[in-house]
Amino acid sequence: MALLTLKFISNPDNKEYSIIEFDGELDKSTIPNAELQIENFLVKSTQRFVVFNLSALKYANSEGVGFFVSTHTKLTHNNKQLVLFGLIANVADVFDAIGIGKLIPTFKNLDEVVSFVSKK
Amino acid sequence: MDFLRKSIAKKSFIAFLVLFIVFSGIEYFAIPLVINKYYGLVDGRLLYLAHLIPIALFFIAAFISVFILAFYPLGKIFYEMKAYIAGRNYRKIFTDRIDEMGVLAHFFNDITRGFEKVKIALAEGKRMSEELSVGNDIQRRILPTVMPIVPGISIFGNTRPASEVGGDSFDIITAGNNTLIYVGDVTGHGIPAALIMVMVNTIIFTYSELYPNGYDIIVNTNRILKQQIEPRRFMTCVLLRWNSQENKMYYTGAGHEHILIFRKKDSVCEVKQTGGIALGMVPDISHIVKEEQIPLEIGDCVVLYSDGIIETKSISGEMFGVERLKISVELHAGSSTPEELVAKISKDFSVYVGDQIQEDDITLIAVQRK
Repeated sequence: MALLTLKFISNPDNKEYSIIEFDGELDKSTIPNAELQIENFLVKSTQRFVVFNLSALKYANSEGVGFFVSTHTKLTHNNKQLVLFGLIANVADVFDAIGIGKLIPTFKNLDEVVSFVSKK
Repeated sequence: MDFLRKSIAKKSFIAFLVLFIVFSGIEYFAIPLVINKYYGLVDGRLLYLAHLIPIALFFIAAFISVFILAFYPLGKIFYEMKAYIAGRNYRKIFTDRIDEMGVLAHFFNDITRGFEKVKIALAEGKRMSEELSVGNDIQRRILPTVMPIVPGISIFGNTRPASEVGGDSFDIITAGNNTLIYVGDVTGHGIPAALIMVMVNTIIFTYSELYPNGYDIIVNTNRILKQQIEPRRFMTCVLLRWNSQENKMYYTGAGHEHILIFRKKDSVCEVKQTGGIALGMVPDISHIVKEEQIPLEIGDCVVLYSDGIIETKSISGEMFGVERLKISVELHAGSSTPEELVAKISKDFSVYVGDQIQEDDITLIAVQRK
């Protein structure tokens, strides 16, 4: 069974974005718990951008992609925006194939994210 | 007095003690009085028998006590147990006793209630299994069973769902000079995926008669699908369009796996990204997808597949992957018909994954230019 750990980084001084770090694998066994944790976090989060650090996400199947799309939709309805960065090669391949980059802004590293956020 | 209520042995002991005291009293106080009163008036032997009456009554009373305390309730419980074992109608045993008989009765009630639940669950499971079997039949009818004869190309496709019903879809539709061949893969598998698969299949079939190209079919299928499904669901798809008048092959990608194109002349397999975005993600994909041509020469072969093939892992946990699939195509495509190619790739795949349980739906289509 796949494992996934989420780490929530929300600096009160940073009014622009909060970061959620993914470590492990994202599939149907880990999605429900991830959803619950993120929902609880977002209730308290006030920042406009929610940044997912996926540099330690080792695997995401199509259901994992569905999770990102669903999170993106929820955030958009709440006038927030999901941003992704740090995808490793095999996860980036899946995202590229499905076309996630056309829906959710995706960057290589946090510097690019910061630059994107500051322009918005 | 709870300690008494909880044990038949204690209750019996107390009952025997009470009876013993009562009948001892009768024996030692009442009987001598009777004997003294009638001494000399009746036969002495009859008076002697008077001593036996309380003893006999003691044993009768003791038996009745044991019967009431143990044998009667035990008989009732056993009667219902026998009825249950024999498959006859049985009744729940109502009792407020908390001694061994009460425990036995409650145990019987709990066990039979549990079995009833299991029985209902099994019946429900059977019903669902029958419905899934019907769903499986419906899906099989939707999927092409006989490969059509199309001028200029040979086609063979096969799909294997991970459960009774699957989320992979493929179809071959001829409309005018166009033959459409598509493979689609809905997120996940099972009933939710199968319902979307059926929905998309119907939409594409309908639009194939309305629109002359893959682009319009895909864009409009997405427009309808986006309104019908929840955000986490989507369907990746790649649609080939063979125009038998132009003898040209086109493709429109919607976030699906790569297309493999085997070039017979060089015996190499190209891996081409389908591009686009999966269906059902955004309301309008008209600016994202496009229809492009795949130049094909005689003997070239296009292979479409779903992620079930490349993401299935071997016993060591390594996925089959695009690279192994590509090697398999390069190895067999030059000397095989589409049907043989699908069979040979399936064999390579089966050898690689061994006895691993199939977790996702698997679809493979080969189209050869002839």
